[in-house]
Amino acid sequence: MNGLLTVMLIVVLAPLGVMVAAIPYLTRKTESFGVSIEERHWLDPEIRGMRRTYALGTGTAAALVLLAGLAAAAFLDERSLVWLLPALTGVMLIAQAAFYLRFHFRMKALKVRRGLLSSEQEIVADTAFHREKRAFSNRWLLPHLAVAAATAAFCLIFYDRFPEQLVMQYDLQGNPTRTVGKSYPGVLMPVILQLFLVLMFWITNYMIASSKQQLDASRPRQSLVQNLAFRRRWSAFMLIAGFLMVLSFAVMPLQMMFQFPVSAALAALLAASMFIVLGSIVLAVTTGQGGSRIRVGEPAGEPAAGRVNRDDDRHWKLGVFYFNPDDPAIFLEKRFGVGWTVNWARPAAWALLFGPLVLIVVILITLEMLDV
Amino acid sequence: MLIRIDLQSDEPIYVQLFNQIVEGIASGALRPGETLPSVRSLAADLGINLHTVGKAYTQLRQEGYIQIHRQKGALVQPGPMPEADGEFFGKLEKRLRPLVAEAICRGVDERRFCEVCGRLYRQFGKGGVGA
Repeated sequence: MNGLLTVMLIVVLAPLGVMVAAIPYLTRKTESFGVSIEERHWLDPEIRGMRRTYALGTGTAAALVLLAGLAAAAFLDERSLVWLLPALTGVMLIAQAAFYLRFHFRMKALKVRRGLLSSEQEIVADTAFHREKRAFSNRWLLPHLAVAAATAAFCLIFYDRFPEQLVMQYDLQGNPTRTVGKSYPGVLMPVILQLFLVLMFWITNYMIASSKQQLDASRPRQSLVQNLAFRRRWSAFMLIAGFLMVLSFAVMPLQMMFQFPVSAALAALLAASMFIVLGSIVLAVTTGQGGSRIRVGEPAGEPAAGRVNRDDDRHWKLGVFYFNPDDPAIFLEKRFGVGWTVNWARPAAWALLFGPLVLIVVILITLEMLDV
Repeated sequence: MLIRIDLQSDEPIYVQLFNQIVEGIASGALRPGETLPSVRSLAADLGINLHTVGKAYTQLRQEGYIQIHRQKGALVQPGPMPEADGEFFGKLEKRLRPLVAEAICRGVDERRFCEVCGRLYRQFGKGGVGA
């Protein structure tokens, strides 16, 4: 039995399994398995049953995958983590997709059969929304940049005192598995990663601020309050999570320099990741998609309901991919899940999603070439 | 102010937008000088084509209800509202004419017709000024 491997499997797969099983309970109540419905049908016995079956099914699948992983861990060493963890995660996500698709199509059929959405549809938007505080300022990324600058300064000032061979990779016991000759890019690699992280969190915060309003037509004022709280909470959380990640990359050069046990650095990294994973689960559960689980009193002057949201099912391919060339929005809320997604009909969305990926590949290739 | 677009209505979306912004100004829900969302952001919020919002904004600007600045974006007319000139009264009569005709056909007399007008004026909180 390999202790570290076991811990890693549990730490990654258990929260993922919980998150996946919980999704149908966390969406807006006007959406069920990627299909728009009226909120009053949310508690319909048939739809509740579907949520329960999905949660049970994906939960069981996740538990089986985890058990299989733990069984395999008994025969493998931690080097296999590199492929075992992605493989198990992949199997888990495929199982989830299979369950999702089954219920998505069942839900679609149910909607046709029972007419779960009134034709009295309306789109509502507040003209003052653009003046509201939707996310925390990107200036809150300055502390992140300060940490990156301090890391860079540290690496450059003490460059001479870094060992001649830089360890690029450790196994989980803390034994070096890959080393390269000392070079400026090599020493500065943590800083490059920190800057990349700051870029990612800047894009995320920008997305939170600029994603479309999406008020609930049947209770616009209430959903407006919920939506703003939803954005601000996630913005704050992302900024804190980003800071922790940037900090944990500063541990790497400190470790290289002072040669303290890798396990201490690893523990710091693990603690930061645990905070982020558990924090996001707590936030997702207490806030719900779009703030739908935040309790908000009925604001005064809320006109009587009667109209429901526009049925935009036809723009949601398989209920999860939004493709609407007529909609200039780049970012919007996910329908099945918590968080945001993009309008795939907008080229800018592709650029923002894949730009950073291309960038990281370029960085990696450059570093690889410099190593030689 | 909340903009509501009725998707079942025969009225084109840009007309609904135009009318609601003018109503917002009339009722005081939109204050003079208040900034309005950009064409792009309002179109994104409503999930409709840019040109639809652009058309409504252009018309609002031409009539003098809003201003569009390169830097500040769109804002409710901060200065004097457009005057009720001869052209406006011409338009008013032209639009009211078929409604008056229909009302007469249905036996609605002048007093009842004006009552309805009065109620609408009061709804906008203008207490029948100039009615």
